[in-house]
Amino acid sequence: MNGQRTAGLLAEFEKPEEVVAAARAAYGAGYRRLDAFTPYPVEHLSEAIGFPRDSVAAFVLAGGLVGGAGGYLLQYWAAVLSYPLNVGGRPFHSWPSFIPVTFELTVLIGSLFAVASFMLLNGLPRPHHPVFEEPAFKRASRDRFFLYLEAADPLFDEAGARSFLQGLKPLGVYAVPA
Amino acid sequence: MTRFLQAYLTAYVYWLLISLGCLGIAMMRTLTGGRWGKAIAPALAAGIRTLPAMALLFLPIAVGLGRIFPWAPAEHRWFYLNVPFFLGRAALYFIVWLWLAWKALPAAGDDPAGPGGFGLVLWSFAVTFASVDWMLSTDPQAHSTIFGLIVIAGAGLSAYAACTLTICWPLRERELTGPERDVLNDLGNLMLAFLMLWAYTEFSQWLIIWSGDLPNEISWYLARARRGWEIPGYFVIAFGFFAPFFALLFRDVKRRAAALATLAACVLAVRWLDLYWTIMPSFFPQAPSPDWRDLLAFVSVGAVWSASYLRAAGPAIRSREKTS
Repeated sequence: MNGQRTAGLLAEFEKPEEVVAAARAAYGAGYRRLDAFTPYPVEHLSEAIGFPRDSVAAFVLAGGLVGGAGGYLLQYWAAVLSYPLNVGGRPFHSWPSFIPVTFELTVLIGSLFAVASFMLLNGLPRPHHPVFEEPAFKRASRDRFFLYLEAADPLFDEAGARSFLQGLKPLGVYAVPA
Repeated sequence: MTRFLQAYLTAYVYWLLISLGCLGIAMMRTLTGGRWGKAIAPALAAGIRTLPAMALLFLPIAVGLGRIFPWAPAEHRWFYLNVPFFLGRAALYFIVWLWLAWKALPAAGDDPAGPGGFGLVLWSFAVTFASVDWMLSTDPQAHSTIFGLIVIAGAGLSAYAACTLTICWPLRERELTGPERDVLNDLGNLMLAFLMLWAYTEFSQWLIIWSGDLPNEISWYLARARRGWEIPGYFVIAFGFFAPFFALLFRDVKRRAAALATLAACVLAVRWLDLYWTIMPSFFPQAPSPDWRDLLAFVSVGAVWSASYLRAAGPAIRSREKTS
């Protein structure tokens, strides 16, 4: 429009139920690259925009396994291979005393993986997003509920998407400049 | 008769710990608040209401303690382990618990106010000393400073599993709303926390005694890790900890009432085996000797406990089933 490329369309709603209904309608109409912005967590909204089951859990499992195996092997290497020391006649491979460190490293590496994968999968840190250009968007952190259709969606053509969003009876539809 | 009393002690401790756990969790709720507490409040209150009946059921142990505890008939009187002092302490524990129950009962209802922190301190002391008197002293040589904490964590686990079972069972065939699923998720997570706390304390005791390797300490585990007693021990480790631990990591388990209720029932069942493995080897160090009187004692104490519990919890359970 006017020679300016559009990053997407933003629709503003007054009530949380409206944005959930709008997100369901958009997902039902075939849009997949959509997002929603609300001042507080709104129930069913993430399901409505087709939010996938994320793979953070898989990353945490992998981190936990790495940490646990690493912690155990570290102690095994130190106590059995590198510097075997007879402590009160106990076997070098005294696995019960390896358990606490194994457990702690499982938790440590697992939680580091949790934070790292959460950031990575969310594309964070991300200092800027096109929707910030729209002045009305400021109220997303106060009292308005927004649905955002990305122009990158294969179904997206600006006129069609705009009339689709208008049909959902929003307070306003804004074109977000790229 | 001796064999029945030994079985009775195990069964009594099993059921009593559920009641005591409910009392402790109700006071904990006073300190923390939270929607999980509101959800299980009727079950907590019902568990607390079983305490007067459980106090009466202690009488067979008080009368028959000469046949149960190896230190009781001893001519040489110990300062701590002797009959009059033992009975005096038991009376004191029940005074503390019943007083706390009376004070904490409103906290188990809708109004989370009650003895809270001070009550928990008293409760912890009473449960710790009671666990030493009634469980650890079956082997008078044994001593462990973490034993009370193991029993406290176990009581919390028993009570939490019982409450979760009570709350989830009526919901098992219902389509759950979002907030209901979230509460179930909380219940599952807290059960996981109790499970880990209990396993952590159990492992700590074992690790410390294993590392110390002192003759007067390892006798406790030597009786419990050999001659057939290792089988219930391994079973408890596998099905009392690892199986429910991994199951509770999955959100699908925590968000389905039927799955959570089944899991809670399994945890409760293994709790009995755990206490059997804790107490009974003191009497039968040479080999496990399961007996019909174990079952008889379990069922008879359980019948009194369940009757008292369900009378208090029944209306709340039925009202939940009806809203389906």
